[in-house]
Amino acid sequence: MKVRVLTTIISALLLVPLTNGCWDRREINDIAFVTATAADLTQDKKYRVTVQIPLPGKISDVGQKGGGGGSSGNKAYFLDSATGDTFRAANMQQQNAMSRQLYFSHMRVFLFGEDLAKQNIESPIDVMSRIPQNRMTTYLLVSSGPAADLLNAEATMEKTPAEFLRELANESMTHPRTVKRVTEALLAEGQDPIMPVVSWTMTKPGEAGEEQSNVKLAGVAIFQKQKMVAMLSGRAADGVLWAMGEYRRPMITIRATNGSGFVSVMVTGYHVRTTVKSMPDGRMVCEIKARVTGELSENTSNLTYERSQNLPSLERQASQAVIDDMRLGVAQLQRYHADPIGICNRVYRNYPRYWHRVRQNWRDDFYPNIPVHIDAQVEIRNSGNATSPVGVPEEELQS
Amino acid sequence: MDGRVLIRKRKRRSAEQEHGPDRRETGFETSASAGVQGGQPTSSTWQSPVSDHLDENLTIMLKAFSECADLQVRPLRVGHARDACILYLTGMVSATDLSEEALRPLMYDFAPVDGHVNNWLASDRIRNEGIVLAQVGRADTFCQVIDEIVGGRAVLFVDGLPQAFLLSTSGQERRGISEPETESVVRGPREGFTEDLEANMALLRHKIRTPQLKASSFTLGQYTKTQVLLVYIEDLADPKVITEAKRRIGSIEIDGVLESGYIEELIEDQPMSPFPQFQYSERPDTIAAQLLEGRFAILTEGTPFVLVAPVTWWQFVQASEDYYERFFLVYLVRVLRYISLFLALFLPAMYIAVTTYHQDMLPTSLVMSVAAARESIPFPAIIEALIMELTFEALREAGIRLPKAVGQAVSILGALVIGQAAVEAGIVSAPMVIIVAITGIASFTLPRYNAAIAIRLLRFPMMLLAAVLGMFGIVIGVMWITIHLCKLRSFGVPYLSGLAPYKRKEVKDLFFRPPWWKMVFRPSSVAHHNRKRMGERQMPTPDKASGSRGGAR
Repeated sequence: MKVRVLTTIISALLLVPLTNGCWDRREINDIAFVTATAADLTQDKKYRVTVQIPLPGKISDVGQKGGGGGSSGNKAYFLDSATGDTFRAANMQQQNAMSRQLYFSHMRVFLFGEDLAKQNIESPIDVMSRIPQNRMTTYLLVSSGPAADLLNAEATMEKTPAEFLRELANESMTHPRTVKRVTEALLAEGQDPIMPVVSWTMTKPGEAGEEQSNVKLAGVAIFQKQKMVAMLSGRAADGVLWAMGEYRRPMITIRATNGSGFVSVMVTGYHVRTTVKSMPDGRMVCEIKARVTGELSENTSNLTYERSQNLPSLERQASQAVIDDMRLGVAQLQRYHADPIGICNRVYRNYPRYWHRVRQNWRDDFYPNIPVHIDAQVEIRNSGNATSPVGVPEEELQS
Repeated sequence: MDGRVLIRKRKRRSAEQEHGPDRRETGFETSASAGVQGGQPTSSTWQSPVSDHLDENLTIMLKAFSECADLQVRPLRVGHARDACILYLTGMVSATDLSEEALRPLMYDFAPVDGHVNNWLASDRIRNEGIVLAQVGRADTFCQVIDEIVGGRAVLFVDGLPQAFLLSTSGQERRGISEPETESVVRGPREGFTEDLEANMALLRHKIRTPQLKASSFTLGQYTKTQVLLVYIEDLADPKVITEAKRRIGSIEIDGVLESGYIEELIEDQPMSPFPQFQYSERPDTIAAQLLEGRFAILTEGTPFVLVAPVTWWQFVQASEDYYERFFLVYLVRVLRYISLFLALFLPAMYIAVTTYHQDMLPTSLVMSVAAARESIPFPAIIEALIMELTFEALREAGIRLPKAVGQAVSILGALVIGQAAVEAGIVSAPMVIIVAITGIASFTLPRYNAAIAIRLLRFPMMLLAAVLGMFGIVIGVMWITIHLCKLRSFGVPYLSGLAPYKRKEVKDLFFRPPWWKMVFRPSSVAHHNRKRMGERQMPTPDKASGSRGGAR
């Protein structure tokens, strides 16, 4: 009797896991893994969301020996685009036309279209920090022009454009901008986010080569909180990255003193120190100091840099080049009233009382008028394997 | 002849007798139904003392051993004067010894010395002057006589003497001492136990030469009369544990004990647990080490496997070689074993959970290749895993039982079926093959087979839990196993002793093996009262006085 009651209870309990049908079970081959998303703004102020979904069967040649089924088509990925009033609504539109379930855990790159970035980046950021499927480590990029186009680039180097963009974003800064970093900047007092800019480019190897579309890094996007105000490129962008200490693998190229060629210094390590000081007269002064170590990587002039006074002068020139870049960048930042370096944030932290006085309208009154003293010291430690320029005859060398 | 086969035959014979057509006729059979009293079927005739008429004795003996074709009856004349008869079972005594050391002296050399003609055939004279064997016993009842004959002795009846002489010769043919096949080592003794209880006990005595090594004897099995020895070291073993062990072994009532497994299942603490509560070993050095830690061993006649208790879980992840090889290597090996333990238990379950519930836990490129491999697979991950695991288990089972010549065919078949064909046919995915292979390798690294079985069994419920509830299910399974292990006891010793209950000094020998000069104390959970194993501070250091150690100065 007792045994029978016990068996009844146990079998009833055993039925529970077997009958409820594993409601959130989804096989790995029933999932559409989104690896990159692009968000644009349409003419009628709606969100256009484009997702890139790699087709596992095309991406990987594992297990393709026998059997049938699998994904079909020519490209290794699938692109789908939909519009909606909100970011999420657009996603739901896409889901309706998809045989597999959209899954965002593996989204590594998120692209903002230029128009959307100028308007407001808040809605996508909100979705990404709200839904646990999304990762805080997703890289954020701004595209010049519509973002959806970039997901269509050939980018033959990697299997999908998403992978290409991810590697590119990873190379863009020392600490690539992720959802986490951008959110931190959005929430911090006296600080603005910054994002790398990517743009469409065509490469053509020689006249006979076939033209290919590709994506390249093209500077940085400057924000005032959630609104993009400018895109910097060239030396100004480099200067901003220098000043932030975010320049990844910098290279300093300068003209040799006598104008006979160029010298390149490869930076092996650098440290940027940003401080804010209160002057006796009550004004705030910012100081940005960079200490750079590097090695000579190219020398097309006829100067030797081994055991002569040429080296200190080269170091001076290189330092000046870095200072010039940074000046240019910081000037641009102050012009656009955007502070990705966090100068005002340092004021807020170190002089909170002072900050509360200037806080009202700090962006327009306080920040553009802070004097920023910029200094850089380049130290060259090594001249590479060669001691003197290889292609220059010895009698023409100047020491 | 192989010892085990011999024992099987004996068992079968007694069964035949019991169910044979002539069961009512012999005294042996009528008493069989009387019950298990003393583990010995008896009858009134058997209880009666041996008479002084040889004919009467022989009649009773022949009746008892009717239909026993292997009973040898050898009539002779002692000292050319008195009729006598030797009875024994073929193969259980050494015929050469018997003829050289009992028959020859009795028939030719034994004669009245001139002055002592009177009473020269008295029993002690026959024993003292007639027989040159080392062990000569005496039996007064038929009951004893029969016991001794089936126990492998020759029995000598002499007309006119109301007793029987028991002649112990060098005994039956047994397998010699060889290297234990189930526990081979790179470094360590190569001898293993055999089926012979006396030889096994002698092997232990060779390791531990002290009278404090005690062995109390039990005879188990109504028909097999298997001799069992409970061995322990008096000062080290907990007397309470020994008393309890004696009580449990003494209360066994069974018709036969053919292997130590019978005893294990009859006296373990938690019969329904998948985890073993006895360790077994074929190696005298392993058993000696356990005895030196205060445990007891159970030696069983007819099997080389010796049981050890009380055990803790940690013993099952330790091999005897751990204590012979230098400790650095053992650090690595032990860590490897724990990782393997984890993999063997959880890897298929983790794979199922991750691919059906937690796809975000894998790196993107890995998730892509897994998804690609699974594109054309018709089954859900759990079914796929079950197919592969069951195939693997079947293959392993087939490999154990098959003769070596066929074994190779099985491994080729297995490699093709598991490794290649199943993937190419689109029945299972390649990652699953890898998972099963890693799991298989991991489960082979556990040094104790009975512990590996427990892990092997528990893998399947873990897989089902993972399939139903994902990681959450695995966590439930882990908790269930942990609670069970914490509750489990072997002869009153907690199964996870050292970790739970936590003992700071013992944890070091669980996950790593400290060098010998650090293991000053025995594990306290087993040896409570006599814990110190060696002198302290024995770590070798350079001699400070002379500046160098053993230098030629």
